[in-house]
Amino acid sequence: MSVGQQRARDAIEFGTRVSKPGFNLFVIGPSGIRAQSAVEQVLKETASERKNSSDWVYVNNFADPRKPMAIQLPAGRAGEFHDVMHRLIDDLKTALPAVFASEDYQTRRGAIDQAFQAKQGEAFTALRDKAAAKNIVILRTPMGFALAPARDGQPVPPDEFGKWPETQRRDTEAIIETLEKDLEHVMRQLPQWETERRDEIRKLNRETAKFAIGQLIDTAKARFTDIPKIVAHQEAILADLIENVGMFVAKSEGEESADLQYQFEGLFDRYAVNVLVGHTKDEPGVPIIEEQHPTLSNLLGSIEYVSHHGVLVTNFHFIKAGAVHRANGGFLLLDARSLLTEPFSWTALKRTLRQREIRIEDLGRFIGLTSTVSIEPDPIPLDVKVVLFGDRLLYYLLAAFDPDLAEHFKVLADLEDDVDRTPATEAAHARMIAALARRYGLKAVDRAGTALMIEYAARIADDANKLTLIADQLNDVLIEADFRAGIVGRTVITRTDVETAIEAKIRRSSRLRDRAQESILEDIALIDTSGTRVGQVNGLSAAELAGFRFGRPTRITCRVRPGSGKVVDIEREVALGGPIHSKGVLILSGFLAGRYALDTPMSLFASLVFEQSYGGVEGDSASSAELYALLSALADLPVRQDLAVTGSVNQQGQVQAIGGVNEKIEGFFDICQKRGLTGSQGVLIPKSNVQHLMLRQDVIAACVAGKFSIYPVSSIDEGTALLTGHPAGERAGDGLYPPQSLNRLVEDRLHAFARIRQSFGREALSSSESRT
Amino acid sequence: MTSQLTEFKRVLVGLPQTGANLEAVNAVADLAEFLHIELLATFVTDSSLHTPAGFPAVRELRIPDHGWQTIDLAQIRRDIDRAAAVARQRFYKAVGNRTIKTSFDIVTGTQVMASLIRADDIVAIIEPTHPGDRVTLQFTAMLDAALASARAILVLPHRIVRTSGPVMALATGPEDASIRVALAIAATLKESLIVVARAGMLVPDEMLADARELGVQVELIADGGLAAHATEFASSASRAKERLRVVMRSQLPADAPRLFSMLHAVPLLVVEPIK
Repeated sequence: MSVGQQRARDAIEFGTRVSKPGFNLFVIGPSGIRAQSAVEQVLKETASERKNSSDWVYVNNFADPRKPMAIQLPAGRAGEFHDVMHRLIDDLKTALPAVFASEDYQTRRGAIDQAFQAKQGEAFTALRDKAAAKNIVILRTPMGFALAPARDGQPVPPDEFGKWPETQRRDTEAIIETLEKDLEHVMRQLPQWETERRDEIRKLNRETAKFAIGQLIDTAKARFTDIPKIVAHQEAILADLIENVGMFVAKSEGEESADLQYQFEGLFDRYAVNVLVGHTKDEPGVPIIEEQHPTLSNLLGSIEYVSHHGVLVTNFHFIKAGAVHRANGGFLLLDARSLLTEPFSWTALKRTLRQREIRIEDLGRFIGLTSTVSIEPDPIPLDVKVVLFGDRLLYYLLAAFDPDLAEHFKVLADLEDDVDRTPATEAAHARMIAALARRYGLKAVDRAGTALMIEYAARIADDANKLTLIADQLNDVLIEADFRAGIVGRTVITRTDVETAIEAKIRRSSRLRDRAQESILEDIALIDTSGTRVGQVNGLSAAELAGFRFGRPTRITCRVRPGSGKVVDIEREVALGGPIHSKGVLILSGFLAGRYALDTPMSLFASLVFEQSYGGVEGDSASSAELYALLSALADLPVRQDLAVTGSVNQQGQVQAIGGVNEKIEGFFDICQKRGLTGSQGVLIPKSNVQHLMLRQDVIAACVAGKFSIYPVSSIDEGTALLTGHPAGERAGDGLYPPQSLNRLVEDRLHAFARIRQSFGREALSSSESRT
Repeated sequence: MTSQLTEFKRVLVGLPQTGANLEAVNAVADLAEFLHIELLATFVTDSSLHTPAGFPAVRELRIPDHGWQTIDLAQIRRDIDRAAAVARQRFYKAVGNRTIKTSFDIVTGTQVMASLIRADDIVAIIEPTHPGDRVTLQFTAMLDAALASARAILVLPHRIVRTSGPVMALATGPEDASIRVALAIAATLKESLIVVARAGMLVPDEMLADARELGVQVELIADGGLAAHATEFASSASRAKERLRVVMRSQLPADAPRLFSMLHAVPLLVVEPIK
């Protein structure tokens, strides 16, 4: 992890080492800081302290196939288990049909069938013989059996029977009645005999199967005696095979059809193993998994279905692992924004962390898309560190609106945007630049090129004393510099290449800036860079579009007249001013009220406006410029138009730091340069922004040559002196500012406004009394 | 050699009114198709059933509910009609799109069935599913008729386990007709031939030459017990996984139960000595 990230590094190390629930990490920082790779590096360093992750498999639950069983194995053993069971199944496919097709089995099976057929046959033969001896035949009706008197083996017609003596008829009927009981007795025995036959065959099948597969199962078991759950599962397989061996007998008896073959192959599927998570034995450390597309399925796994005869079916083979499964025992890296934008994922992750077990949740069932019979796999115990990456705003919003965040992500690692610029950090940055070049296969960067890259890092940091830690922007320039060096056939990246890359990058993005400058140069947007004007100041604003920031001057004007003490911000009145901007204008009223004409009511009406501004205005960085315009208007002192102003102001008249100082200076410089530098032009900036100056070389060169100036000011008085050429003036012992000082002129004007207002009040009163 | 089969022109299968096993009907149709001969199915209705209907004391033990019921002649007729319809449907389902000539007849009385049998028929008898059927007047009469009239009888077990595999001849001597017929069928079915014979018996060279010519592989299995009776051999025959056994009429047991006990889920073709 980069120099300057010690706070975040400590947090990550703590988060990864503490093993209590909820101590997951939320890593926040600016976008493009390459937090993932940096954090991953730290995780790898600490990963060796954690015990190796387990393998997980799902197997059939013979007691309840709807609830597949999860089995935990030491790392690297899942594959072995899978292979052993695969071999076992192959052996079973051969051994089972073979043993049931064997002469021994067929003989014993045939003997059972024959014995029972003989038993049945004998019973019916005995009945037939008994009946025949008494001149009775057994007849078969479509639905059953009947007994009828016979002569010479043929039924006696009813007419003939009617001619028999009554005693003979009664005797025959009595015989039939007796034989009916015998027939009924035999018939009642048939189901019982059939049951006995089936039981005997089942017993024979079990014995045969046990003989055939017992040894195979024992061999498979021997490899996993250290894992009782696997041994128990293999015993369950043996029991299931024995119990259901009838399914394999049909195959063994030579019935061969494609459908039967398919069914036969399918019979063994339930003895196979679904390796959910498997590691290799020599895999170092624990898994560090990054899921870039954290859908619910990708995160927590899924249950897939296949269509079978138009019905969606599933079993334990169709359980698919999610990132949480793969990361279990290690670290799961997720982008917070991606996680939050996927339906159900964030909630499901929190639920999983709370339950401390992984339950596969079927999205289709959640939203009612599938209503077919599904499975409920055993949950798997969770032992994972989740590391979320996000920007600060996202984290603070979540912290504010989701109380669960604090429960599950107790460790915050806040990555710095930049680092103090010291010889050590410059050296570290130089190493980082070299490392980036190596990682992306770029040419080496020479000393001067590296120096400029470090300057560029300071420029991105907006601070001469800081270096950015956002590697993405540096990397982009480096890659382009490599490209530029390649074009001219250089083998190393030089300062020229870096310069060209930076300029090209700016040029590609600067169309809007150029159009804005063009409109000023063509006097469409009115900006003076010479002369003086009362109540008119060149303010500076900065705009940022798609990562490109540029400054431009804006004319700020002020008009004053007697009034009720109100400073009107026209931007606010027309809803173009943002709240911070409005606050800045209101501060001006406070400044005026606290400094001038303390013995009279404030009788001023002033209006301030950003001329030719048709979009929103936000921020208070122009409040000092607005105050200068206001004071100029009140004092009726012209302001230099060859100067531009930036900085916010407080009620005490102190000028305060603003952002984008470099771009603002460069924005005014560009206009002045294009119109021709006079040597008097320059920019007033807050003194506290001096440390942030990282100006373009051409600006620095112009300053060195005395063609352009930058004036750090710490107070409004300093600024007004520069802009008007009149000292502000200190209040003397008589309570008055010195004559002709700016402050005196302002105060006199305010007194004059008060008097005008007072006289209007008197006239109004007297005319009211005369009417009365 | 296939001339041994040319004497057969038709397979006649009797379908009992209790309903014939579809699997067995299929096997019969297969044989007829392989031999390119006509297949005639006869559904035998039993007129003798009208007789007990006239006796008030005679009742019917109905299998579905094991209950006694007075015989109702109208009900019997309806049951027979329904059974005939089912038999016809099953028969035509079994013969399907076969290329041979097939027909389905309904005849009344087992005596009529006997009269239908021709000398060039193979009469197919399907083992009844219910053990009681084997001793009924109707089935014994049909079996007796077949045994008395036909040159060849195909006895089909109610469960057939294989539809491919060698053809087996259970021979009593080198000139046994079963060998020649089995060889001809094996050649037609493109299967091998297994000859089970007493120890020391050899298959005649002429027959082996015929087999070579027909492309039929011949295997000789010695079995000492065969001399006594073919049924004694039955228990050891399954190792060959044969699809059909051929045996001489003289080797048949005297009664139906013993006849069916030697099937072992494999069809048995009973042939007469060659004239």
